[in-house]
Amino acid sequence: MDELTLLRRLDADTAAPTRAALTDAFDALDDRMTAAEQRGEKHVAKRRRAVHVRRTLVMTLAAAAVVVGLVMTDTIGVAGLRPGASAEAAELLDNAAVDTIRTADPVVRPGQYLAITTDHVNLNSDISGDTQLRWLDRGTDTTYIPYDRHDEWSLVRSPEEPVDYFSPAAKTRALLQYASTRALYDGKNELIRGRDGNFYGTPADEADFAALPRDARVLLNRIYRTTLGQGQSPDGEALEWIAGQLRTGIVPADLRAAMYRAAALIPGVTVTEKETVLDGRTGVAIGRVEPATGARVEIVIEPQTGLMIGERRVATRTGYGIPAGKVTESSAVTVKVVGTAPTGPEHRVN
Amino acid sequence: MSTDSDVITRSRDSPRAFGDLFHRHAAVVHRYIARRAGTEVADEVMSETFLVAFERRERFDHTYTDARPWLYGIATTLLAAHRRREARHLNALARAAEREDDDGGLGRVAARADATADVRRIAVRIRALSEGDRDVLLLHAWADLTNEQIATALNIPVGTVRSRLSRARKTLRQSAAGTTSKETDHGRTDAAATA
Repeated sequence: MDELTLLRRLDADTAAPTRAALTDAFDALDDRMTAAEQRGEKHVAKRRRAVHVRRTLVMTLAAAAVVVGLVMTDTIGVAGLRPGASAEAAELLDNAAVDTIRTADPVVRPGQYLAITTDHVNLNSDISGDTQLRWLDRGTDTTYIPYDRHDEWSLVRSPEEPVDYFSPAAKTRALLQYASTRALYDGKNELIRGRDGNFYGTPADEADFAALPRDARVLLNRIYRTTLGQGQSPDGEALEWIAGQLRTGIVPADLRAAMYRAAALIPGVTVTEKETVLDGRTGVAIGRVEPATGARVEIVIEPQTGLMIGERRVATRTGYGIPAGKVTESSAVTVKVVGTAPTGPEHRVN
Repeated sequence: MSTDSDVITRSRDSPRAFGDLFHRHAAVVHRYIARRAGTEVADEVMSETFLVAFERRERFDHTYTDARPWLYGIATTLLAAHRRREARHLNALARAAEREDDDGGLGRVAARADATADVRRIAVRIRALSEGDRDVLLLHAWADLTNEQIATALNIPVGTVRSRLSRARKTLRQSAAGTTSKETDHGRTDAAATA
């Protein structure tokens, strides 16, 4: 059987959209069409030739126009030209940048490993008839990176356990799924090994930290260029990119500081919670609401050390059975140096 | 029947005409996204795809009569915001294939287990592809677009589509021909042994 035939078999029985999903989507479109009709919106003939849809199409027009000017260089761009984070958030990020420089990066010696543990909560779902069932799963992953990064890494993953439910039916389904997941794990965590962090067929793909600018404006321009056309908006994607890098737990202190200062230049970033507890640690949450989705992406910083405790995604609008204010995704990161990596045979669950 | 291009042209002056495009293509767009990232993401992204398409209807290139590549292109762009959920969905697919192994019926267990193991490896491999390669491969295999249509959808040259597709297929071929590493014990490294 060739690879395309196999690929076409994969999930070939994907269910058709539910009536509710189609109705909701059409209603949303209908609102938009009706509003246009009521405005008497008429087509104004464009003289310019038709252009293909570009990857920037989901950005707002203004933001897209802004970013298009960035394509050439990091030093000439818009970072810092528009009003950035709120004064409160900018001050907090600047303080964190100062503090984080003073916080020594962990040093791994020969024979030791950098152990990066991510405790994460994710939104999961399943379908029952016409009803979407949603709940939150929690799991823990630990990556062991050796002194020589070309040596063998280890990844330990716990089964994801349901911890919060958005309906009684969701709870029933979640617990049922968890029972079968636990059977697959066979009472053990998943243990995967791979040289260069190659756990699933490709080596770990990390940003080249040494090559990234340490000047906040130049760095932010680089980030806008790197993420051009991705996500819902350039500013949202820039903050997501920063959170994603910090989540790796291996960003060096001087770059971490530059990232905080770059985040302070992103329009819409505010202090969203002055005291928040993530993974038992108290920090300050800095975030930005994405207007298109209503999701607020946050990074949580420990004020004393300037280290990122983790990141969160919060629903700011009620929808999909999830109340406004609910944290729908989070991850907390801890990094330490250890003398050993897990022993024993691999145990892959996939 | 009027073409998609006709519908979009009509919707310039009669916005509600755009609803026809939804009725024609919503289900297939949903299915494509659901296969990649699960039904929850599909509900959200499919809806958003048509909202974006409606707002951008004046930009549709009327040298094409079929709007599907355009819609799939929008959906693929929007899907980029859900990379983590896509990865989790692929994990779930791989696990589901594993469960099918375990639930195998009498008589044909061995043959089916081999096939599902191959499918499982494919799921793992898709996850390892670069985003660009994955977009091209899945538009080809799951949305049934031609190379030219993929080029239109992603706004890249058709030569790039060919090279990405070839690279992605090669990666999958290696996995289809490969052996599962489930039972492999890689042992300990010298560094670990001396730790």
